[in-house]
Amino acid sequence: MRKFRFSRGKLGRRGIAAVEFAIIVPVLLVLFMGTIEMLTAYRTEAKLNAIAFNVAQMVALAQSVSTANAPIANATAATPLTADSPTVQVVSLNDICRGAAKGLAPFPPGGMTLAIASITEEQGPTAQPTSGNPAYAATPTYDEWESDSTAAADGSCSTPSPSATTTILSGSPLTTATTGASSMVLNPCDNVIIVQASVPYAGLIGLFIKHPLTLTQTAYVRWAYTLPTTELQCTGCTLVSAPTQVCNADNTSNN
Amino acid sequence: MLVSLIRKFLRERRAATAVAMAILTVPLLIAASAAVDFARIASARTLLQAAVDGAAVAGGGEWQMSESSTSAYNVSSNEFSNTGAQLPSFVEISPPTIKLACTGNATQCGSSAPYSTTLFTTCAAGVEYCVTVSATAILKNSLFGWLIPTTLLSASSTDSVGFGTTGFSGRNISSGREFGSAGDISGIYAYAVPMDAAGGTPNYNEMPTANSYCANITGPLQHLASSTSPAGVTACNFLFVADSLGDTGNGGAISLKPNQPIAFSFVNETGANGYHSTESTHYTDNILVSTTSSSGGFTYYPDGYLTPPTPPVICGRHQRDCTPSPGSPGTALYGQCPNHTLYGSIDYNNGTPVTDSLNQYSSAYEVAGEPPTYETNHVLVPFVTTQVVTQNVGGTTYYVKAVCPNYPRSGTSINAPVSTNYSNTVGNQFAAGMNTFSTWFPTGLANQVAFTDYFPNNAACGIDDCSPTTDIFPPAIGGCSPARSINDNGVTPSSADPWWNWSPSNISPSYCAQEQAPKYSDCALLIQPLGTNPPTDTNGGALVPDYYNTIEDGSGNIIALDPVYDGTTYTDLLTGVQINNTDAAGYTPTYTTPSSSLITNATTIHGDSTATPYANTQYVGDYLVVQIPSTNGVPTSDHNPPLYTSHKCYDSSVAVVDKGYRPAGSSVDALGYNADGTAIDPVANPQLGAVVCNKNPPASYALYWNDLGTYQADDLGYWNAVTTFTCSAPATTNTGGGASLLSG
Repeated sequence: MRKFRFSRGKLGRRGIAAVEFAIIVPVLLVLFMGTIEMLTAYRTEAKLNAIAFNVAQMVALAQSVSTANAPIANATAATPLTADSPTVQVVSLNDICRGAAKGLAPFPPGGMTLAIASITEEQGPTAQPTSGNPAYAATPTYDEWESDSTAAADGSCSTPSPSATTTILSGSPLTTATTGASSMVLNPCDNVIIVQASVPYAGLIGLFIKHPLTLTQTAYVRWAYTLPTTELQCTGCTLVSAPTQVCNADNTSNN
Repeated sequence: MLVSLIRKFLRERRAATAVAMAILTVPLLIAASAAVDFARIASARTLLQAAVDGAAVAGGGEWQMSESSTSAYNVSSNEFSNTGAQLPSFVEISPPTIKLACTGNATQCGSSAPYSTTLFTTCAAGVEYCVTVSATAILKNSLFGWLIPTTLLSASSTDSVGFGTTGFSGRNISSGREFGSAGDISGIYAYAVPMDAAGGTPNYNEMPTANSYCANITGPLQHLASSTSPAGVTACNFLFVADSLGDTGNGGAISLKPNQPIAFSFVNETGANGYHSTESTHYTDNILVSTTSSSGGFTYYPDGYLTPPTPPVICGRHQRDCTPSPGSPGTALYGQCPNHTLYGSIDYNNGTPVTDSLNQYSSAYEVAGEPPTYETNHVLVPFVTTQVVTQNVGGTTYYVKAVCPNYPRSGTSINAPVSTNYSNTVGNQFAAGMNTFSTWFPTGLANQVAFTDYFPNNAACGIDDCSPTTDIFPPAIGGCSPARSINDNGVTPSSADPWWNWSPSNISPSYCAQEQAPKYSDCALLIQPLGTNPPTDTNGGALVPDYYNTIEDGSGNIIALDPVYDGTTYTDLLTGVQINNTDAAGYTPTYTTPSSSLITNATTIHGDSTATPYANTQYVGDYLVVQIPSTNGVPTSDHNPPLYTSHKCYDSSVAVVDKGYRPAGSSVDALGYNADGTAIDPVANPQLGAVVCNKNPPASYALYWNDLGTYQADDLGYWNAVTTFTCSAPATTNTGGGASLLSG
């Protein structure tokens, strides 16, 4: 009896740490993984925010944009600039998308969508009549275009067709004058560039939930070259409301 | 007892891990919650910074374009709201603080929203607009909240914007091919009106010096090219529009900041240079020859005077190239007038003839209330060259000086006193009947000296001794500027060509006696808007209207001109005020008298095709006055503005414009003001001398320019420049509104 008691007392302390550790591990795991997960999610969101704003800035600093796969060079050794060469720098939206995909590293870019839209007030409600439409317009008219690209896992980006559906503009952003994009385009030729970057965030949560979280960030900037007679034009984008991309702060646009 | 329990607890080894974990749980939770909340804070701060950045940039850009501080404030605020709306619900954002600074004038800055007239310390130096957006937000901490409930976030951003540029290349200039048939060789050029150091205010009294690249530009401006160009410049800083030789539209490049005006320069080789000729050869008609001295003993001879004995040896046209053989029977002597000068000018400072009468005018001077002239246009008189050509013929030295101008007397229809009275020029180069009418120029009053010293004996012609010390030749004549518009007391322009002529009644002693308030008649310059859809010729240049109808108020003041293109279908510029049906003769038959053409609005024939209701009623109650051109019956050959606008300058914003403006108590007229004392707005009044190319499609303008000479009482036949100018399409040459400088 004494032996048993001795043995039980001596052996009874063995494994206690393991048992206690086993008990505490799930708590620690939840704590650590939860912390990491939240940090990663916020980090991804911050990255996405930076991507959206930087992409918007890149578009805002472009004189003209295109959905072409490669940037359009203005001059080469074979075809140097001449007096009659175009002076407008055309920036590839696809190139911007690929840059954004790389910018998302170390997070995987697969499935990242980049919706880039431009809204310009073509003419105001007091616009003068034109030869084709000699009546006053009751409300302002807008020139709008959008290009939505999706990044693949390898960082490449799709090139949308000009007739593709739109993400930003389909949401009727011009409904009111106090909120939405129209609140930033008050006068003819005013412009806002909207960039909406989204990425499916799986993380560790994705192991347990069927539909991963989608992080979305939106940036609003104004075209840097906005002038009373000029608007940002896109070749190959989906034109939403106007066949031509011409504005005039003097309200004499002939669209 | 307690001590015993503590000792027992310390000796106890069981559940040590749990105890340790229990102890560690607190710092672990603190660390984890802090990490999570710091991430939330960082993310929210990033978004807040993006919101203020975007708001600042949008506000600066909006201000730059709209010139409205209210729009800048609203756009900035709205942009912040849109971006800030993405912040999660646990972040409470306060309304942003938006501070505006603008160093431009009242027009550029706008006046509704308050703004500072001096830049903030955060603004980039020398910019025009500066927008600072500051925002704060309170973030409610989550796990960390039990220790620190909230975190205050703040972000600030400053956007500094200067004026950007819009490039205009000469290759984009589309100009009409109409031009005057003056004996002069003339050209019209466009240039960017220089801006002040801050880049906000045009200096209409300044005209840039033609750079070295202008030496290769078409037309007479090449003779005024300087020897240097600023670094980085690779083209002439004037755009060639058209010249009297029929050339149009190429050469030169200018860049414009937003709302920087374009003005026009008229360059004129005064005085029948190669009259009826397209070459630059200068012919000499009259010479002074001396065989005794290079400074005296001169006698007038016809050009080509043959030295004895006869028959002569005929040398080349220019005597300096002639080397007769010794003992030759004779030589024809010719003089040589200076380049560009067939009808000379004198220096207004000292009255001496200048060697170059290449005159340059600026349309922009009209904006400042000056006639559209420039410094080189002075009193036009024939003169004797100071250069002496020396020839030795048969052992005798001949000193030859040319009497200029030197267009041939024969074979021309010019009835010029210099040719009919040139004998008077011998010993008295300022003969009766000489053209002493010149134009005024900025700062001329301060610099000019008395001309009377150089016109001592010409009272008969009415040009002399108005005042021995204060004569200005001529004072304030001819500028089509309301500030200088003074009623001509009913003087009727010449019936021969009212638009271009001066009234002979102006050339009289009474004219001189009025000093600064002479009679005057004609306008020197008219820049008439043609809209964005004028008919074009095969070269794409806007057509000069065949004539204009006038819109007049009940008092007969002209408030607008409506161009008419006979026999052409076109978009009416002033819809609602014109019936564009033409009869067989090419004229509008509907309105024949002003009294029957009160505009009653509502319906017009638009574009010669469809009757269209039109809501623009700004001319309701005014009168449409059909102005049959002077060349009635020849629909395509007039191309002049209405006759009586030539002596009745108008300003569309100020109905009464022909009374001039002289402030009370002042002895001189005010510059830069309309007749009623209001400041001249060049943008609203492009006919005053400058235009702003801000329309899309680009706007066209008709240019009518008279260098203030006339064949009526002047010595030469002037019918100067008529052409059109079309702004470039800005979308293809835009180099941007100026990138923002973001800080903060």
